[in-house]
Amino acid sequence: MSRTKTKRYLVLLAAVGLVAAALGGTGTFASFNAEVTNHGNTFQTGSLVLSNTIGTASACFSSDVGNTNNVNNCGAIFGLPVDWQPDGTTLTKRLTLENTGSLTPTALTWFAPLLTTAGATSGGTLVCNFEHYTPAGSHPYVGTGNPCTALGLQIQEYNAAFTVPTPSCVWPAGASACSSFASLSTLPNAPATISGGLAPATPRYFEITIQYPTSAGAADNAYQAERTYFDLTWHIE
Amino acid sequence: MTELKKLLLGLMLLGAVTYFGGGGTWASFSAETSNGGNGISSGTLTMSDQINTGGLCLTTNAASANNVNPACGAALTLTNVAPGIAASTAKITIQNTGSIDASKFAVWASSTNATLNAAITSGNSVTSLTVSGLEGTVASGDTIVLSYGANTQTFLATAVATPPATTISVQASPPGPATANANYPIGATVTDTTSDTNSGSTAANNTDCYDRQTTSPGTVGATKGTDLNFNPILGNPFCARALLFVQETTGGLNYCWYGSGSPIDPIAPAVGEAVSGLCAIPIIGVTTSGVLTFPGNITSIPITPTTLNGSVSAGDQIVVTSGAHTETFTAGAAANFLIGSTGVTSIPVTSQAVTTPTFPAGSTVVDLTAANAMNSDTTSTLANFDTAHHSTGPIQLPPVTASGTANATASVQLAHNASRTFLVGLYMPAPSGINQNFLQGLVSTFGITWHIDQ
Amino acid sequence: MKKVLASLLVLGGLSFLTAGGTFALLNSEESNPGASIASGTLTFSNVVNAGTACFSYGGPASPGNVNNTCQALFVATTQNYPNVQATAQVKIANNGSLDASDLSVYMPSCTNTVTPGAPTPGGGNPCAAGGAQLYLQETDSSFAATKCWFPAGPTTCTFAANALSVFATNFATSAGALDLGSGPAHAQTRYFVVGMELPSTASNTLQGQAAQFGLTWHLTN
Repeated sequence: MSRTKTKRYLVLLAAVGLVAAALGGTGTFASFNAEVTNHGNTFQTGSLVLSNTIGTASACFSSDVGNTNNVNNCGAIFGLPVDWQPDGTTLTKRLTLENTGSLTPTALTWFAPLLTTAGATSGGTLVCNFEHYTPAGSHPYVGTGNPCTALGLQIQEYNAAFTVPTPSCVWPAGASACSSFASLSTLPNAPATISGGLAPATPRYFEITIQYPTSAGAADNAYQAERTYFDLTWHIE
Repeated sequence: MTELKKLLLGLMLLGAVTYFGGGGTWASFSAETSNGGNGISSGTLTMSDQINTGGLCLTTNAASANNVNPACGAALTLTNVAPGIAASTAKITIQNTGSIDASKFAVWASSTNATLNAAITSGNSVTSLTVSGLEGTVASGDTIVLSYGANTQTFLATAVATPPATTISVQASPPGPATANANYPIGATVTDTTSDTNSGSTAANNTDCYDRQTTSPGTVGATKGTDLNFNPILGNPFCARALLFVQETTGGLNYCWYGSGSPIDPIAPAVGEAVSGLCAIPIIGVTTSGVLTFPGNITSIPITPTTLNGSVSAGDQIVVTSGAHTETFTAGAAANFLIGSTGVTSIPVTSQAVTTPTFPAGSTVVDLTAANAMNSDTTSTLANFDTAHHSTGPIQLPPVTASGTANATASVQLAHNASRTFLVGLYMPAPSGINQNFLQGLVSTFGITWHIDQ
Repeated sequence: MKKVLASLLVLGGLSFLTAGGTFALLNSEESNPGASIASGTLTFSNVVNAGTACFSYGGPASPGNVNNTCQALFVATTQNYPNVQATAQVKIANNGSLDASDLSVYMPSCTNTVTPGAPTPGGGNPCAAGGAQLYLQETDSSFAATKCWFPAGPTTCTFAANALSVFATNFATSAGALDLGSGPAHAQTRYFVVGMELPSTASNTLQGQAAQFGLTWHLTN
């Protein structure tokens, strides 16, 4: 038998495809292994920080107090004392809202939280409250009127220069620039959406105007010596 | 005495001398017989080597013309092997095809070897040997023996040669310029007799068994050894891990000449292996052919015919598994295996009452005793076969008189016309808790030599 | 005489041939060279979304077949918002020659850090309870859901509270990895989607915080 022919009779008992599992999982026999790691995964969140600037004052940030709720009471837009008279005139303040965080919220909303006592927020049953007081140097007078129903409020958005109103009214809500006022007692307690959201680094500018009631003659005295309270909350999420 | 009588006596003597010294034609009385046709002839001691049912490889037609055939077929060619898969075997039948009984029969690990691939002319200077089929590594300084017919010449290697080298640089032994002492034609045997001697810092590299990274994948499109960076071949790590076994099965009698459970190279012998003459070879991939219903007394495990691919000895732990359920039995008797055997249809077990759920047909069956023995065996490796059992440490093969018993004093180990059969097998162990990734994509190549003496 | 001498010669020759002792004996030898055993390979690639394949053997030679530098599933260029799902597709392809008997996955670590560029981080820990949520979904090749591995479920995964924390705690080591069953076989691929989300109820403490983690896939045969 030649060497060539002999070599043709090689035995090929390959074990292609057989797996160690044929041992039936009866032990922890070692075997080949391979491993890869998808490393450096970063699942991160951004932040939402709402800055609230009244007029030309310094910005107040939702994160300023360091609480975990990211909630901050930034002070009154209309601060005491305001000696108003029922003459139909208005008082306007400017408010700038800005998202100084890194996330774009899904919505910008506002509402008037319920008050429990005059000046307090949350937990109460009214969005506007009032109390009687005696102005300094004045004789006490207890008015019988409800200023929350007499005072009107309007929220109008403007451009950054406060020269051009946007063609919509935040309050009373409307599809064109504000042309009327709604009483404080009708402020929404449920969050109302301000369309357009509040993307990071894109401030929005608002004028908030209170209108005093027009004179009703002797009935005007019902509003003497009364302090009126209301809160406005701005929210992004 | 008269002058005439002296003359006549001299003439008679002259005639006698002439007769005895040179023939002649003197007439006289005579008688003669002869014993013609005497003759004397020598016997023969030759052998054949058959792998499975292949053709016979004979020593008589070896290219080296010295009754040594170094190039019979490779016993096994295994590819894409993973740790812990079933061992693979080849049946090798060795026959004494001569007319003389062999008093000695042995097997040993081949030395690093090759065949001459360019003829050498007597008297020519020799600085290198052109070879083909170099198996194993030649270290600088190794003794290289060239042999053809009745001629041999010894050289010293002057540089390392590793497969697939085709040149071995040499000088004379003792060192000096070498001149061919005879004609050595192509086919002459080249043997590194220093290899496998397990000496020096390069011992693990200087063996017949050698490792290379695979250059073709085990399956089409897959990664191969040369694609990887964690499988170095220095020290022939696969040779040092792959297990070899040589299991005799002549006439149905078993003897484990090398491997786990062999009395030649015993490790903590597996229960029963040495007594039964069976090497420890785990059965893997064997499945039950019938349902084992519990509760009940089980006395045998029915197995799918032809799937028994290892050896079971009495006392071995046999584990049957189906999903999360396992049950362990004790083998009641040995279960032998042969390539192509269809006869084994069950494994007898010691009667055992169990209550675990039914095991359906197709449940896996593992001889855990054999598996543990081989998976923890670091002795019966290809590397140890090379270094412990090369030509100066052969495994003598006295005749097996009963399974597990050999007659070491027998005067004839392989009678003329007699043959003996062996199962030669390889197994890649899966030792628990050991990362064997460094063995991925490697191929170990080795040889095995059979030898008979008058 | 010649015949006698010839006979003596034969007799002596016979004695020579049969005396044994230090005289050479006949022998015969055969070798079966070239027997070989070649091991297969168990390697795989990891592809994230439409990225390039990252191979297990692309790592250093030691320990070998371990690559810790494959592409991240979730990157630092994205800031995630509560109730907004982030997903990544992962393809595990066995390009070795041997079938895998098991695939598992684990998260060696989850570390809480601050998101760069996000002002006023809240100080919370997205790796902890109440933090980010994670799921591991197996799919077919078109990424249609076939099995939810974590949180365990039938087919389609849904987010569950504290899922990232639970995963990072329970499946933090190779020995304690989440078992994903057998396969892939050689030349086969398994497909997964990893989803992450901050719950809609996430507190503001999780603002500006980042969970940094690795996800390790382990194949054995």
